[in-house]
Amino acid sequence: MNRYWNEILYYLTMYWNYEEYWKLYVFVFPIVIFLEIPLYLLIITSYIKKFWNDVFLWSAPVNYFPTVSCIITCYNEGKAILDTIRSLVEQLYKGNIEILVMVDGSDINKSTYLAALNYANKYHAENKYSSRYIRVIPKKLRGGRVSSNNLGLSISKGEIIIIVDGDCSLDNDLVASAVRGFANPNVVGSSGNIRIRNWNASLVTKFQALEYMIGLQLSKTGLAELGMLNNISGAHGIFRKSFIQAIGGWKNGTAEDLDMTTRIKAYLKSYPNLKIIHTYESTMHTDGPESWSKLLKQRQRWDGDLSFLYFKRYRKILRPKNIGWKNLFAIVWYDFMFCLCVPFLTIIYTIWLFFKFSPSFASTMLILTYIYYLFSTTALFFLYLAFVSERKKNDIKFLLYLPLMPIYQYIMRINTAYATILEFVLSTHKDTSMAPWWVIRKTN
Amino acid sequence: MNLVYIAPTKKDFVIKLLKDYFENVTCFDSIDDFQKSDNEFDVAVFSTLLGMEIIESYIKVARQSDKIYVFPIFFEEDGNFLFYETPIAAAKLKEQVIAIKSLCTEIEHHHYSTWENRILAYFYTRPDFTIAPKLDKQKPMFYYYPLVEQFYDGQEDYFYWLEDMASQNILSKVKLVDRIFCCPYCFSALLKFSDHCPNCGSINIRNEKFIHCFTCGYVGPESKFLKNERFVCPSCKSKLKLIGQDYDRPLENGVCNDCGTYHIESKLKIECLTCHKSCSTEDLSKKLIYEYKLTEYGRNQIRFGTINSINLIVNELNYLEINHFIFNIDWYIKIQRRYPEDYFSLIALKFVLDETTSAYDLILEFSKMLRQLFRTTDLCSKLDINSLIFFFPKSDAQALQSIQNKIQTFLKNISLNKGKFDIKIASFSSTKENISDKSAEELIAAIAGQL
Repeated sequence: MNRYWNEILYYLTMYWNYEEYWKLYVFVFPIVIFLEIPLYLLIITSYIKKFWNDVFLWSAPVNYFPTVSCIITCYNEGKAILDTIRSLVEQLYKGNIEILVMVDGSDINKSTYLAALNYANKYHAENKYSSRYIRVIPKKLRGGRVSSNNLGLSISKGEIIIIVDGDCSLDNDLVASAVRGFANPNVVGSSGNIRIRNWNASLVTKFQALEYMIGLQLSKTGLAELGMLNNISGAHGIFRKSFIQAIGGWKNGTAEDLDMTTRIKAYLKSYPNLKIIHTYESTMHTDGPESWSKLLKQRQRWDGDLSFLYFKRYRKILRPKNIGWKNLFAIVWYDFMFCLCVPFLTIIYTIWLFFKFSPSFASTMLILTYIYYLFSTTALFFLYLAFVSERKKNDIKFLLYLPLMPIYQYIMRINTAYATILEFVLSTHKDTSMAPWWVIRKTN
Repeated sequence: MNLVYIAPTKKDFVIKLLKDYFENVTCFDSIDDFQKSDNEFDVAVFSTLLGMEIIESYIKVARQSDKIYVFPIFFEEDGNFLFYETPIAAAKLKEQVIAIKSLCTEIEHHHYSTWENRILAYFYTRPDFTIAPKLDKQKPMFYYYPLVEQFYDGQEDYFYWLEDMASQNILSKVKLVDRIFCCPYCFSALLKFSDHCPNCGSINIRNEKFIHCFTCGYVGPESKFLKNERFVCPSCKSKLKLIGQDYDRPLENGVCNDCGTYHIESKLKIECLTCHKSCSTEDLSKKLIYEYKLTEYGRNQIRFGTINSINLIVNELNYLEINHFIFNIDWYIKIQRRYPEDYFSLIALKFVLDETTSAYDLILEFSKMLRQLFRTTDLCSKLDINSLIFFFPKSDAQALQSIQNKIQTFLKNISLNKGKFDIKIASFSSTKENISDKSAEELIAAIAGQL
C-alpha cells in the first residue's frame, strides 16, 4: 500500500519530465480540450461582453408594465400551493398580475383545490381593488402538465405568460425583472433562474444548489448571451402569449419544455429578428430531492427524456435548414456532446486507464483530473459570484463544498450514461409522472 | 246616524253613496268650519284633498282631547274609503261605526284622563288593530309608531310604555320588525362611527402594510422598505426578496399620523348625534322594534277599568322597571355586605279588586298617602299588574314597621261605596344574617310568595 502511494507521489512530482506523460495527457483529455474549455471560454467572453454592455452602454429605463398571467400547474401540493400563490401576490410589479392556479385532477386533489380556493376568496374579500387577481381553475380529470399549460394559455388575459411549478416560491421582483426583457418586442421567450430552496436540508441539496448556480444559471446566462439558450425550463419559463398561441401552445409528451424550446428555435430560423433570452435576475426557489436515491431517479428521468428527444423525436428536425447552424451547433455541442457523450467518454476513459496502466498511475491521472475540475469549478463559481449572483452573502458559503463538487459531478455523469442506456433499451420516458398514462400512450 | 263629510270640493257621487247608509250627512268645506259647528257627529270622513298634514294635525287634537279621542275617522280618496291605509267598502263603513260605538259604551263609565288610558280605550274599540312602527330617518330611533304619536303629546320616549304594556301582557308582540343599536344614554340610533389611534385618540390614522425583516428583526411599514422597486431593510440594509424566508408580514397594520405609533386594531368610537356623548361598541344598547297588538287579557282589563290603576300610584314615585329595580337591590346588598349598618327594607303590596269596583278614586287617595310616605331616595317597581314593590334604603325593621302601620291605618279609615277593596302586604327587612348569601331576585321571589 505504501508503495502505491509513493508511486502516486512520484508521478505527481517527478514524472513531469517524461515525454510519454505529455503524449498521454493529450490523448487523455480530448474531452477537456475540445468540449469543455471552449465552452468555458465562450461563457467567459459572453460575460465580458455583458459586463461591457452593463457598464458602458446606457439603457433607457423600461416603462413597460403589461398584464402578466402566471400559470401555476399544481397537482397534489396541498397547502404548499399557498407559498406559491402568496409569493405571487407579494410581487413588487407595478402592472396587473393574473394568477391562474390550475389544479390538475381537482376531484382527487381536493385539499389543494380547497386551500387555493379559500385563499383566493379571502384575499379578494380583503383586497377589493387589488391589481393581483387569483383564479383557481379546477380540472376535474387529470390531464397532465401540458393540458394545464394550454388551458391556462387559452383563458389567460395577460400579454406575458409565466409558467411556474406548484411547489415553489418566487422572489418578489421575479415578475418585474422577467417582464423587463420583454419590453423588446422581438423577445418571445425567456428562461429564469432556479434556486434550491432547501439547500440546507442535506449534503445532496447543497451539491444541487451549487450545480444550479454554476451549471444552469451561469451557463444559461452565457449561452443566452450568444443566442444559444439550450432550454427554457418547464418549472420557470416566461413567454409572450401571442407568439405561443401562434405556434399552437404546448405539445403532449415528455419534456414539453425542451420540446417547446426546440420548436421556438425552429421558428427563430425563419424569423431571425426574434430571440429568446435568459433573465438571470428573475429567481424562483424550488425543493430539490433530499436523498441520493431520489436525486439519481430524478436525473435518470431528465437525461432519459433528453436522449429520447434528440435521438428519437427530433432526429429528422435537427437539421441546419430547420434550426440554423448556430443552434444546431449549440445543440450538438452542449446537449448532445456535453450532456450525453461526455458521461460515456468519462466512463470509457476511466476503465481504459485502469486496464492500460498500473493502478497507481491511473489513480494519479484521476487525481489530476480532479484538480483540473476543482480549478475550473472554482473559477466558474467566482465568475458566478461576481457577475450573476443576487445573493452574494448567502452564496459565498458554498465555497466550502466546492472541493467535493468534482466527485458529485463524476457520480452524476455515470448516472447520465446509465439513464441513456436505459432509455434506449426500455423507453423509460413513458414512465413520466407529468401526465397520466392515458395521455402518454398517445404520444410517441 | 250623523256623518260629517269634510272636503274642499264636493263630490256628489260620494255624498250620494254616503246617504245610502247614513241618515244625516253634513258637509263642510274645511276642518275649521267643522270644529266651529256645535252639532254632534258619530263619524267623520275626511277627503284627502284637504291635505294629509292638516288632517293629521286635527286628528292629533281630537285624539288628545278628553271627549272625542275614540271618534271614528275615515278617509276618502277618489271615491274610495280608507280606514288608515286599508281600503274599506262603503257598506262596511256603517258596520264599523256601529261596532266602535257599541264598544265605546262598554267602557264609557271609566276615567280616561291620561294619554295611556285613551290610547288603550282606542285599541279596545278597534279590535284586530296592530300598532305597527314606521321607518323615518328623521326620528332618533329611526322608527316611530304613528298611532301612538297621535295620542302622545310629550317629547319623551314612549317606547318604554309599549315595553311596559307588553311585559304586563296587555299588549303582545306580534312581529319583530327590526333590531337597532342605539346610544346607551338617550336611546337615539343616530350614531356616528369613527376609528381612532388607540394611543393618542387621534382620528388622523392610516392603514399600512407592515414588513418584518428576518435578518435583523426590524418591523416597519412597507414604505420604509421600498427602494427602487425592491425591498431593502432600512435597519440592516439586507435585500428582502422571498416572502417566508427573507421577510414576512406581521399583524400590525395601522399608523397614527399624529403620534407615529403603530397599532394592530384602531379604536372604534361612537358619538351620539342627539346627546353628543360618546361611547364604545360594547356600551351600545340594542333596541328591538316590534309590532304590538292588544291581548284578550288586556281587553278585559280595559273593560273593567283595572288597567293602569296601579300606574296612577307609580306615576309620581321613583318607578323603575323590574330588571333595573333588581339590579339596584343587588347593588345595595353588596353595599350592606361591606358596611353592615346600611340596612334596607322592602314592602310589597297587592291590590285585590273586585271586578265591579271602580277603584279609580280609591287608588288616587292611596297614591296621595304613599307620596307623603315616600322619600326621594326610595324606589318602586311593579311585580305584576296588581302588585307593587317598594325599596327603602337605610331603613331598618323599626322604620319598616312604622310604614306598615301607616298603610294599615289608611286602609281602616277609608270606606267603600260599593264592591270590595283590599290590600295585602308583605315585607322584608335586611339584617346581617338574612342577606348573607341571597340575591335580589331570590329576595323578591320570597316576598312575592308571601302575598
